[in-house]
Amino acid sequence: MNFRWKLLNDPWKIFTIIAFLLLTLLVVVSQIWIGVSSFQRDGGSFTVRTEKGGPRLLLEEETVSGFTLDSSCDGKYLVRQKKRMLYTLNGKAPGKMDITSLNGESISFMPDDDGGVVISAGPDQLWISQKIFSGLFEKSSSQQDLEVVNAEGKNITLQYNAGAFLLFSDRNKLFTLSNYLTFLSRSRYVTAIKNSFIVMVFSTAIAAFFGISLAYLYARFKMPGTSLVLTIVTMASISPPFLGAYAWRMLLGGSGLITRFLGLNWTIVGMHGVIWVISWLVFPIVFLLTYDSFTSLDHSLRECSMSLGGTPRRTFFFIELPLAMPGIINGLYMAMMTSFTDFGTPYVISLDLNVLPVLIYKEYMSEVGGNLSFASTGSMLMIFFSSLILTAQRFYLARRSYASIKSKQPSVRMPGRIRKIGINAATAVILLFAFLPHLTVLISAFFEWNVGVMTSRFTLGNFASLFHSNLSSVGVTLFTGITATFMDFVFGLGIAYVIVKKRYPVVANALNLLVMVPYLIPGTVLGLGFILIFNQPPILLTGTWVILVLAYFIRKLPYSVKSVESALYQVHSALEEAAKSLGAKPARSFFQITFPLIIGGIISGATLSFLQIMTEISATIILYRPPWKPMTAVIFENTIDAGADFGLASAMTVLLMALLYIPLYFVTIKARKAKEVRIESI
Amino acid sequence: MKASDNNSRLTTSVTIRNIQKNFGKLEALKQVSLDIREREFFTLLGPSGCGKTTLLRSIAGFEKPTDGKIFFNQKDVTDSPPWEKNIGFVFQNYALWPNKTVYQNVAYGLELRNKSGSFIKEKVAWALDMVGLGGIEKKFPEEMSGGQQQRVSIARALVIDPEILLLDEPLSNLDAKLRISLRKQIREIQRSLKLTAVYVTHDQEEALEISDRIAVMKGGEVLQVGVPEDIYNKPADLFVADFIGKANFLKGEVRNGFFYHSEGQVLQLTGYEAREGRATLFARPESLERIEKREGDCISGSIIHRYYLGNLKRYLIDIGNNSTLLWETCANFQEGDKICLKVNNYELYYA
Repeated sequence: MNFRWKLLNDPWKIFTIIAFLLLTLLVVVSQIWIGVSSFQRDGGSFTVRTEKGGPRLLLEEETVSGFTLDSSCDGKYLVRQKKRMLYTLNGKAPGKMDITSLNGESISFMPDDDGGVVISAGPDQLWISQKIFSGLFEKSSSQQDLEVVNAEGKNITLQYNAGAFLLFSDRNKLFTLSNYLTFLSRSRYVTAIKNSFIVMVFSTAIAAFFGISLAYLYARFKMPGTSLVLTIVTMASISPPFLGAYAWRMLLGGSGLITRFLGLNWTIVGMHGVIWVISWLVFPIVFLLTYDSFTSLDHSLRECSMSLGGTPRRTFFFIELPLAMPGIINGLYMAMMTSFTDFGTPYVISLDLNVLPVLIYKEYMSEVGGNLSFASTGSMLMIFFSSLILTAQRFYLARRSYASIKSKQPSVRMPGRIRKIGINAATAVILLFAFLPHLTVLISAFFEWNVGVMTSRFTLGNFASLFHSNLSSVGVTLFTGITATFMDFVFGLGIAYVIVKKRYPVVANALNLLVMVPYLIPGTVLGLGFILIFNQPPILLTGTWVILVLAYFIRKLPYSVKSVESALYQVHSALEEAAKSLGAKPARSFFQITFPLIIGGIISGATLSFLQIMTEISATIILYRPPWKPMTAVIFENTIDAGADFGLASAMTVLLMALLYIPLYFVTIKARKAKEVRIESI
Repeated sequence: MKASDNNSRLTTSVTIRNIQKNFGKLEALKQVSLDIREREFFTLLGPSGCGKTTLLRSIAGFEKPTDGKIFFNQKDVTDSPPWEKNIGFVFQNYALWPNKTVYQNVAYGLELRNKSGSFIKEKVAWALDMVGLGGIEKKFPEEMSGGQQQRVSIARALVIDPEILLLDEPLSNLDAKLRISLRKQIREIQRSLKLTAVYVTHDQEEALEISDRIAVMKGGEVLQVGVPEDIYNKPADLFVADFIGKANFLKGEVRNGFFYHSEGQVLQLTGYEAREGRATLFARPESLERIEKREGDCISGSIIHRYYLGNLKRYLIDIGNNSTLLWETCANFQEGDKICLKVNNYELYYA
């Protein structure tokens, strides 16, 4: 009784428990479902139909899985599952067949909810349903329902529509390792894993080469326009993730502008294109984190090395690079994760190149209503590989600890004339590559498109059609984005406060771990997990806006919590204690003292979350159903096939970029001001 | 009632009974009991980690004791949180709110008490005047020096007419000269307002100068409570003797009214009848006195180092077998001089 009273008296504890349960449901339960489903498999299925005009049955060979069917000379089929004889199927007349059990048990039957029939002989159950492809002039009134007309002992007679396909399936789920064995042995799946790694390694390497070298040059040399370059790269870092893919395809695809103009045989479609485009997608992350890391080095360490006789080259490789390594590793880690889990680029650039996220999506699309076991198996493998990458990163960082000493003055040198020209030229080329997609889209949005080919006719029609028929998706994006960001704000604030200030035993630690799990769940996998837990009562959410909001909320929660956490760590606990000593109760001291001090940091964090939510594609593509169709889904749909309306996609992208870059501009200005008012002044 | 009228201020005594505070396995306070009197300037003194700050924070209510009771004027306040008490707390790092002006910082406590605007204005002016900081109401904390910030922080604590003023190492972030002038100011404010103040510091010189009474703490326990003179001259044990000021310790044995130093020197003990047994003799450097001629027993040695302290000189004296003594006097000697010393005031600590 006393315990209960205490619990109710501490609102933070109640909040902690609610947050814990919500996260457990959304993160843990959904992943466990994926895990369970990856170990499950249907018993198998096959489809038969009656031969035209005759009594004989015909098996659709390519539909058989889990069963073995042998035809005997008299037109009967012998059905076996794992070497056990189950039934014989015997066509009697068009639309009539006998089923006889062979396992010694008599057959019973019952209709199921979808107009089918379930027959069972002892432990062996079969679901039977018919699918009618009506001919053009046939009357639908002549349809015969699937029904059992006679049943005695081991024999049963089934009547159905004469031209129908009959699906026999064993829906009993078995626990098995076979999904994994299949996944790791079939070349289609193994190739997907291999491709994912190739894309990850090469894209990260290319991005690292450009990102790290450019970042070093800008950190060390006083270059005009540094802040402009930083702004541009920051802008590039929040582009829609598949923008590069379809812009490059517009330029260099099979019927791309440049390809046709130059009459090239070569196109960007393929692995090389995926690697190239993803390199530019992750380049800004590497650049920005590396730049921060180099500029925050204590320059006296570098000068010390020089004073002891170290040449600039030696100093770079033995002093600066190792000291900047934590930031660089962090950037490389984010780049690896992004390139490993990116769904949009490979899907848009090359439809037949399988990487893991694309494979999961395809398996999911072809198995709707099924048990999603291969999609789940792929998801589990993705999480496994993501965890490996994370472990490697943590392991590397844990072995070294560097005090982060902020230098008062950044150590910048004036570049020589030639060096300056070189840096400017490199910057121009790199930024051109990074922004070519944006320019392409911006220009192409104002031209007429004809069956996937851009014409030279200027038009505003793309925007007109956007406002005419697709405006609702702008609303969906803004609504789901704002709702999810608000939830991130509330829960991020609360969870960070509990972790930093409350430190409840066990629960706070558990929450701290739990909140970081979404960090390594790829969007595709998160979407799949949500489908698995929310497509059945009691929580039926698939196809609603709620499921999109929840997915966005969970994906950005780790960033939200971490940004509030770091803001809270900068507010010394004595500030709140001072208010308490003067008579302010805890809630009041939090809202009047701590909150105003951290709100600036939180708002910039929340805005960045919002911008990233607006460009989310990998979970969206699995979860959205019309009419709740976000902008990214519209763009995506209009970029994947060759004859799609690129004009509409471009117009939508231009609008999306406007929605992204205007808030970003205000956030960067705010961030600069926030730096001037130093919160950590005590 | 006028804002500057302080006669109606409550005076508060603090009674601490068997306070125990555990952080996990660490015992930060071990059964501490203290009586802090009304209008007293009481200092908790000890090295870092001795539990003095934990004790102060327990009095304020920031920490809940694991066991034991705390009373303000016989009223049990062990479980009351800080916002239910009327305390002024001054933090080591000032804890001024960086987004509020000096005026807003000081006025906050009065706003919480729903005072009228004119009252707040008058009272804030009074408090800033108390700490000698008129006319800086519109400044932000980071525009001020550390000393000014700490005085604003004191004004913020005083403005609510606290029953008791609690200060947690308020001067340790300031430079030496400012520390000395500000501690005098704190003491004057406490005297003029007739406040009960509990002051935490690790600086023994500071404690001796401003306190009415001092509690010396170590490892979560109170070793000695007393007025500064007693703490200095009659330390309760060797730790207190060593922690406060400079001290000489000689290990040896007391026999027949003589102290036999283990390294061979012999001293005649005067003043009172000394118990016999193995003991450590403690003497302050200034209680040694040079004697011209060897009369009876004295300690002889040679000066190996001379420290010039202005009016005083401190000598390090080698008395043989790796033992040294410190001696403070006005007289001038050279390094290498041979001298004989007798001990005027001493304490004996038996093993």
